[in-house]
Amino acid sequence: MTIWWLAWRSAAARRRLFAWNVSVPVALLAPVAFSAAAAPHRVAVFGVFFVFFATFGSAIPTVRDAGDGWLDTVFQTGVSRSSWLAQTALAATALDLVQLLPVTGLLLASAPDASPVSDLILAGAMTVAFLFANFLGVLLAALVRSLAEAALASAAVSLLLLHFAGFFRTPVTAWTRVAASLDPYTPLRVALARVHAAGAGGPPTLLPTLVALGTVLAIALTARLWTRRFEWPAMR
Amino acid sequence: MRPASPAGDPVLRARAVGFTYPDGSVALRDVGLDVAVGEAVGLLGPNGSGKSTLLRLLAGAAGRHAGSIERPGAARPADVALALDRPVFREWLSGADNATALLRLRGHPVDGARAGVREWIRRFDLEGAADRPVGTYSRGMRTRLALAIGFASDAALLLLDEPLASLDPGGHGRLATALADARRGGLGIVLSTHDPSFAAANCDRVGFLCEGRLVAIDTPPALLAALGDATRIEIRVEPGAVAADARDLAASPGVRAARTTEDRVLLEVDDAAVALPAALERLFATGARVRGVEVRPPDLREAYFALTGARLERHNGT
Repeated sequence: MTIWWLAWRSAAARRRLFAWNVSVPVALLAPVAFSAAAAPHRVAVFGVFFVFFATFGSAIPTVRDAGDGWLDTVFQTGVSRSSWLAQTALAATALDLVQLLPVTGLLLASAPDASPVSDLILAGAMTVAFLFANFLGVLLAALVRSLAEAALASAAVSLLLLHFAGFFRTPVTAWTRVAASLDPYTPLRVALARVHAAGAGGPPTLLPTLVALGTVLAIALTARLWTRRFEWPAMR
Repeated sequence: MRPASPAGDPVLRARAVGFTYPDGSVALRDVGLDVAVGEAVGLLGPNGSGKSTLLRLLAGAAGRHAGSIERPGAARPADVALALDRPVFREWLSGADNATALLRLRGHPVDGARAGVREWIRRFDLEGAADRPVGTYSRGMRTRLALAIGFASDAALLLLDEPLASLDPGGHGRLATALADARRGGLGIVLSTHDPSFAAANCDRVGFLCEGRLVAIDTPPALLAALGDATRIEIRVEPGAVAADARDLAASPGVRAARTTEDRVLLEVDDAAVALPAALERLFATGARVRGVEVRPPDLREAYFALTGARLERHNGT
């Protein structure tokens, strides 16, 4: 659990960064939460922010850690790549949940249909979405050559997945309904819509949850192959 | 090349190792190297000769290389420790936290990692800074931390990439003591350096790397034997002020051979007491400004030149 320990120790040592990661989401999303914006728009803003927060927050530090040689130093110790990835992504997911707790509280305080049940469903959906986003972010970091590319890839892939999850339109056609039923971010959209009374219901969330967890598992199990991009000599 | 084999059980066996970087530049060609338990091997070579690349590959780096690298005495990745010349740490964590984490990743128990690294941190004189963030460390302190982690790692094979580059003289002494203790404890060591004196004093064998080839590897006395027993006089002068021709200096009484570079004159002499005054007189006559004089036996720097035709330091000579 050393990687997990390092992540939390680092977060505790970088208090200023932690404070920014808590306060910026509040500053950006509180006006939206308490505005008169239509519920679907609020769902879209919160969904995009949450997914970007987790994906960027995973991809960009990974590119930086690979570039400065930290990951090479870690891998030289003989630590299993899958174990490194799992601990890194799980710690990042837990940190994301902690850092977004205040803004999530504001979201629920402003939501007309929030209830203990919907709150719990939202917490579960956020956990699955953050877990998927953090694994995806590390994988994307292995495919790019710079911080700029990491940001671009994170944004492009996240927006595509958010789109297919139905954040930007109601899935009506047959194929978009199929896409939404498989998209890892669909449970997040459904949970956000439920607390905002924005067309609760939608596609079942069990299948996309299983797709998200299955993808995470596949990324972890194949880590030995694609994490070579993070080692010396730099192939970037 | 065929490696010179040490006497003890091998901890490392490399054969015909070659490596080309992704951009096509060839870093290593046909390198063979054996390292025995309790043996220290020094690697000498100018910048770009392949020392760091070789150490990376010996450490088990994933880059595809030609030839074979076996570690019969260090089978697990955690049995090999590599201390880089520019070690990377978590800047915002303390030196002790970085060290503890890296040792725990190697499988050390939490308490054992803390206690082990504290001892080596003390030996490398970092005790007062152990709880400070690494971001506040100088380059030399980072090197000392990397060395402390390397020696505390309980590895069977320790690879040190230019550990002297940023150490002060006190650090050189601590490293020499640590190397001696580690060799007695059975640790196999490969270290790259630009300091021939340190290599001669602290390594059982020294290898000469030149343009990616291991041109020679042997004990320091064996490498020096080819140079003969002539005493060396090294006269340092103001750069660019050596007007005397090497042939003129070689004609001085008692001088066997002479070589000049931009900022120094190197003489091979039978008797320094005879040769030095005459050589200085000739130098002064040309207007050279002398900054210092050293009289010494032949060293590995000259052996490197004799065996490779290249200099350890890159500067112009005549």
